[in-house]
Amino acid sequence: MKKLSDLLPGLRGGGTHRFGPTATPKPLTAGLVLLAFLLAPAALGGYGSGLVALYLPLVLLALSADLLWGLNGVVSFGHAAFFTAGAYLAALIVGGPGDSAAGTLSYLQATNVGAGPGDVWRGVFEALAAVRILGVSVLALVLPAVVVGLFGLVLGLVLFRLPSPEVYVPLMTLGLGVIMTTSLVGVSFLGASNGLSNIPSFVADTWLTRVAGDGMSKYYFNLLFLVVAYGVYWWFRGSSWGRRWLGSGDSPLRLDALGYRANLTRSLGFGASAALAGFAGALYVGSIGFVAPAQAAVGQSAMVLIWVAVGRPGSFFGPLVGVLTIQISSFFLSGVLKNSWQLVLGVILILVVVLMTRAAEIRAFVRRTVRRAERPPVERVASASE
Amino acid sequence: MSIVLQVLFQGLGIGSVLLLGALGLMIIYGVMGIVNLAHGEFVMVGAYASVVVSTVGMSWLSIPAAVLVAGALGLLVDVVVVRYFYNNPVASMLGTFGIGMVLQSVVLLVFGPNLQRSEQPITASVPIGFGQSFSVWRLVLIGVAVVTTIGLGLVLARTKYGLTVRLVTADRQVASTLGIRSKRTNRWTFALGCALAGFGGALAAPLANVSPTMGVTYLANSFLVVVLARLGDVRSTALWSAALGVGLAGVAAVSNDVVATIIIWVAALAIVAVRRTELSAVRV
Repeated sequence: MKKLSDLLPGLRGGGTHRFGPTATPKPLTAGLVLLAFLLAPAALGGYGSGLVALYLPLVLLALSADLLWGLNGVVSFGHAAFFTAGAYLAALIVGGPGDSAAGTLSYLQATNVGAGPGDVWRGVFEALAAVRILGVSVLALVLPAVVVGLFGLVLGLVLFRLPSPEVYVPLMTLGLGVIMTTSLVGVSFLGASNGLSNIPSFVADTWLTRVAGDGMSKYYFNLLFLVVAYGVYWWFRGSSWGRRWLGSGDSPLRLDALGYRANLTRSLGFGASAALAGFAGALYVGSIGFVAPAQAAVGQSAMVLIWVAVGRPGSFFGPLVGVLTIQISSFFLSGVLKNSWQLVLGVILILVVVLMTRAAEIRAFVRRTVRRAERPPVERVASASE
Repeated sequence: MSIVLQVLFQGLGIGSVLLLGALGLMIIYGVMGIVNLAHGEFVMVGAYASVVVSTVGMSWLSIPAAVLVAGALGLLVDVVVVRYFYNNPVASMLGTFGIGMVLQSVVLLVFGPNLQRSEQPITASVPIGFGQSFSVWRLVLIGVAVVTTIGLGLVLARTKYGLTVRLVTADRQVASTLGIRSKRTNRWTFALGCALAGFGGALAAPLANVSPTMGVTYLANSFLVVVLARLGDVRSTALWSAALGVGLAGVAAVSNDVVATIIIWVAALAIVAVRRTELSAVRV
C-alpha cells in the first residue's frame, strides 16, 4: 500500500532534500563556454592540453552521476565501478600486441592448450578492434557503453521495483563497488592489482595526432564527445523525456497516475547513466593509458559525488565546474597537503550536504535579501508621487 | 563433517562482527532515519582504540576503552553534523560518508598507513571434534556477540529507553505528539550505535588487519544484513548475520573469497527484490 508520505512530496525524502535543477543556460553562454574550450589548448600548450584531456572524461562521469542525484534524487556509490568496467572492456579491445592486454590473451591461450578459447578470444578482440572509422576503433567506445548500460538497466529494474529506492540504490551500489575492486584484484589475467597498462590512445594512428601532437589530439577527441554529450543533455532537459525523468524522482506515484511508468523510467535512466559512466571509462583509459582495480573503489565513487556536490547538483554546468575545480586544485594541492587533502574533501562534502538540507531556508533568505535590495529608496518614491 | 564444522564456526565468527555492526546501523536507521555510512569508520576507530590501549599495556581495558571512545565520538559527531541529516536518508548517506572520510584521514595522519597488529588476549584453541580445533578468542567473540544481542533486545523490550526507541521507529510524529523528545533519543541512539560499532572493532582487532581503510568491507556486509533483516527486529538481525557469515565462509571454502562476496551480494539482491519490503516497521 502506498503511504501518505508518497502523496505529499514535502514529507518524502525525494522532494525536499535536493537543490533542484537550475535553468538551462542561454545559447550565448553555452556558446562562449564552448569557444573557451575550443581555444584553451592555445594557452595550455601540448602538455597542459594532455593533462586537461584527462579531466574531460571525468566530466562525463560526473554528468552521469548528476543525472541521478541532481535530477532524480538517487545517489549511486557504484559509478566508479561502472566507469572502471567500461575502462577494462575498452582496454581489452584496443590493447594491441606488446602491452599487458596481450599478456591477458596469451594467458588465456596458455590455459587452453591448442586452438582453445584463448585463440577465439584473441580473434574476437582483434576483430572488434579492427572496426575503425577514420582510424578510431569505434567498438572500443561503443561496446563498454552498451555492456555497462545493459547491466545498469537490469540492476535498475530490480532496485527501482523496491519501495524505497532512495535507500536501497546507494546501499546495493556500495556493495557493487566493494565487489568490483576485490574481484578485479583477484583476477590474475587482468593484471591483478596492477591492472592493465600501455593502452594506446584511440587517436594514436589518425591524422589528428600527426597534425596536433599527442596531448592536443586527445584533448580535441575527448572534447568532441563532451560537446556531443552536453548537446544531448541540453535537448534532454527541455524534452518531455527530461520532465518525465524529473517527475519520476519527485513523485513516482503522481507520474504513475498520469499514465507513465515511473519505475520503468527510473530504470531506463539508471541504465543510461551507467552507460554514460562506462563510456567515460572507455574514453579515459584511451587518454591515460592504464586502468587499475583501485579506480572502482567506493572512495572513487564518493569522489564523483564530491565533484557533483561542488558543482551544485542539478545545475547544467555543475559537473564541468566541479570536476575542473576539484581536479585542478587537487593537482596543485594534493602534493602540498598529502594525506590531509582527503580530510579537506571530506569536509567539503559534509558542508555541501549540510547546505543542501538547508536549501529551502537559503533560497528564502536569498529571496528576502534580493527583494530588500530591489525596493526603491524612499526619496525617489516620494518624488514620483508628486 | 569436519569441514562443515569449520565453516560453521568460522561463519559464526564473521557473523558476530557483522551482527554488532548491523545492530548499530539498524537502530540508528530505525530511530533517526539516518543511513550511517561512517559506521565502518567507527568500527575502525574502536579497533585503533583497543590497539593503542593494549600497546600501553592495559589490554584488559582495551574493550571498554574502544566502546567509550567510539560512543563519545558518535555523540560529538551527532552534535556537530549529523543533526542536520535527521530523517533525510539521502543527505545522511552523503554526509556520513564525508564524516567517514574525515575520520579515515585523521587516523591516517595520526597513525600512518601501516597495518597495526593487536595481540590476541587469549591464544589457546580448543578441539571442536572431528580432529578440528578452534581459537578460544573466536568462541569468546561469538559468545559476546550473542550476549550483547540479548542485552540489546532486553533493553529495547523492557526499558523506558527501549520503549521510546520502538515508538520513534514505528511513528516519529506520533512519538513527538506524545511528548517524546526525539532529538534527545536521536542523540543517545547514535552514540549507542557507534559504541556498538567500536565494540565490534575492538573484538575484531586481534583477528583482522587494523588499517585506516578497514571499515568499508564491514560496512558493505553489515548493510546487507540490515537490508535483509526486518528493521527493529533484533532476532531477525541476529539470524541474518549468522546466515550471511556462514554463507560467506561456506562459499569461500568451496571456491574463494571473491566468489563468496559476489554470490552473497547477488543472493541478497534477489531476496530483497522478491520480498519488496519497506525499510520500516518494528518488532522486538
